[in-house]
Amino acid sequence: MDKSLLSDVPQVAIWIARVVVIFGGLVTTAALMSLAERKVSAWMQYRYGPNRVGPFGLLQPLADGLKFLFKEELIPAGANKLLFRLAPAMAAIPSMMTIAVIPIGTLVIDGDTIPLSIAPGVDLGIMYMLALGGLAVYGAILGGWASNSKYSLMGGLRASAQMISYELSLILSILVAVVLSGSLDLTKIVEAQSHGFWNVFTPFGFVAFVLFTIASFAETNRHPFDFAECEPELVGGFHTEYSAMRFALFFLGEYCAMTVMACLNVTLFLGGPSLPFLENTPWWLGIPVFLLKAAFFLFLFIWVRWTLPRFRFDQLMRLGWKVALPIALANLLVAGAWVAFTTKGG
Amino acid sequence: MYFDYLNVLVFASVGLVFVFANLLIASVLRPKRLTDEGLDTYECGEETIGSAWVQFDIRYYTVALVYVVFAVEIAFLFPWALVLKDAMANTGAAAGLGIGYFALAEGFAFVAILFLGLVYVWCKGDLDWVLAYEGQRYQPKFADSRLERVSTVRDIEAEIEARAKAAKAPAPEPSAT
Amino acid sequence: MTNILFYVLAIVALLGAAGVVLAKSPMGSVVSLLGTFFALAVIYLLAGFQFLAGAQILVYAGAILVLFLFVIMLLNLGAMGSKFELSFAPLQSTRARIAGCIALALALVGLVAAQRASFAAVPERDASAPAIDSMEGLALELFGRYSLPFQATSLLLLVTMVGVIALAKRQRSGDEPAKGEERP
Repeated sequence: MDKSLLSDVPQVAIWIARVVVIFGGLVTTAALMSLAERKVSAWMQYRYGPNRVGPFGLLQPLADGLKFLFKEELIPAGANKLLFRLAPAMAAIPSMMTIAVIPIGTLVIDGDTIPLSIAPGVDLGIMYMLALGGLAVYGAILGGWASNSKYSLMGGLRASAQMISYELSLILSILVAVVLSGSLDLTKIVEAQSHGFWNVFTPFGFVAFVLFTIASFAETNRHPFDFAECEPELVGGFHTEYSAMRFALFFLGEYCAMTVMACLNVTLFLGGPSLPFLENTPWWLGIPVFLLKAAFFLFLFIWVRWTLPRFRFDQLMRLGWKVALPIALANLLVAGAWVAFTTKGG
Repeated sequence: MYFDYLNVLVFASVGLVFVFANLLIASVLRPKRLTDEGLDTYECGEETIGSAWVQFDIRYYTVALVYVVFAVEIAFLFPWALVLKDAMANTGAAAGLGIGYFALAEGFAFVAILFLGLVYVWCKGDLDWVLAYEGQRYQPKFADSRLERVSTVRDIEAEIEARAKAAKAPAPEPSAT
Repeated sequence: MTNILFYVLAIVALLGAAGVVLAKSPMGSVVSLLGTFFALAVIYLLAGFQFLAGAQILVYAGAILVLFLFVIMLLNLGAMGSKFELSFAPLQSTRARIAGCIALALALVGLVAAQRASFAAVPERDASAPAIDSMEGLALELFGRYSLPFQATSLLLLVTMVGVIALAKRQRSGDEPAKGEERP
């Protein structure tokens, strides 16, 4: 009897391996991003950047992590202790959970197809993601409020106002991809693009892609929208009072959110693990292609940070409500009309 | 499907364990030398005056209100986006219902009505962050939507050149008187 | 398995609800409410209503609760405790007791009505049509049979938006502001 290589391996083992790979990959990416941020900025400013710990400073994130473990933690005397302790976890966990529905690609081992994704079959994949991702706002606002410090409160308020303002454009641009493929399941959205015709190649897909990229910068509190931690005026924003491991958790959350946003952008508009203009992408190319595309967006986050100056808060609100939101609404309707008039009905 | 949600739940608990394990290890390892100075609220070295829990600006509240309305709208747009293609093609779940253009028109009407709301808020000036009183009513303070012109390197070079030329030019003759 | 999960979640939801009432600081109430919403969403998921679960978190936990937070901060409720404390004072006032009894009575009426409705004759459905608990089924009902209520919802949302802006931004009567003065 012809037996598959994998039939002897219990399903649970495959499942555990998948969780370990994806979770480990996410946390490692987040750690490497903290290094990449400093390396790339050094490169752009003609400096060396961290280069002492390990070859090319590659072990720097590990050293940072150890240092965070051994640092004293201060909780201001006037703070609300429970919420102060809870807020970093509320910022980090939703960001980490959202990676679960992203299809990174498939492994084909001896005829068996294993999707590299925690939960590939969630019908409402995108809705689940947006719902959980939206909860990250509590980390900022509760952390800022619980600190009982003026800087923190201002930072938390600004961060939350900004996140909710741009969430609308973010969701509306995602819905364009949903209209085009007729599914909320990320696996099916990737499948619809797998024949080489990515969503970004259509005019409204392109507009949605640009809007999504802008909104993802605002959602993750990155430059040029980083009002939450605008150093010259707010010291450190909502994590001014945080130190040691809890401070690190805020950063872990931010870098995980960036990674997920990059992956989501690739999945929705750039065909996920497929190559452009090719009828079929071989499976072994899928995962590297996906990772390369995501890496580009992660680089873009850093590139923009060291290139553009920060907006003013009223400019941010104007861009979000008066420019991005009307364009996103109109764009969704245009995409809907296009789908309606090109779909051959019975 | 349930299995997938279970996956998510287990994945979430992995994240939870990771976060709290880190916090636990840190709480065992880190020193605890609490001093009054360390527990002060950070205010750039100044003594803290009063609590930070004060009344804050109403503008944040307005933004949140408008956001809630739009969030509800978007929750309704999810089913619309999902089903539109099927409804037009008369396939899948929508087979035999023939509601294609009807669904499309409904989506348009829904968005158009809410767009009126956005226009109202816009006209009322609640989307402008800074408003100044200009007699009779408040006007956006930064009416110009573009950034003010920033000097470029070329501008600065031109100015330096002009200054150098001005310095080289002979000083005007002091008047005889 | 599902049953155990349901009971755990139900207990979490009830504890959260109790926390909303009993927490001393309004912030504590908000966090408790967040827990309740979350547990309810997972219960909806267990019952097979995926869209309802998603909307519960997206709209209630993600939007409405943020609004509550802003309202609490706007109202400036003064110094709030630095700890999460419970206060049983609300349970001791007569007014609160009456309100609680009314709420309980309403909940019971709802429960009985739901019980009756589930035994009432279910209207004939096309067996091949997707059930309303799937997202597609829900969407098709929304754009088919319930299209008018759907449009009415959008009008309701419009009225809400106009209403809240009109109420939130009422010009304070009194002195006219100085020219160039920024709006508070």
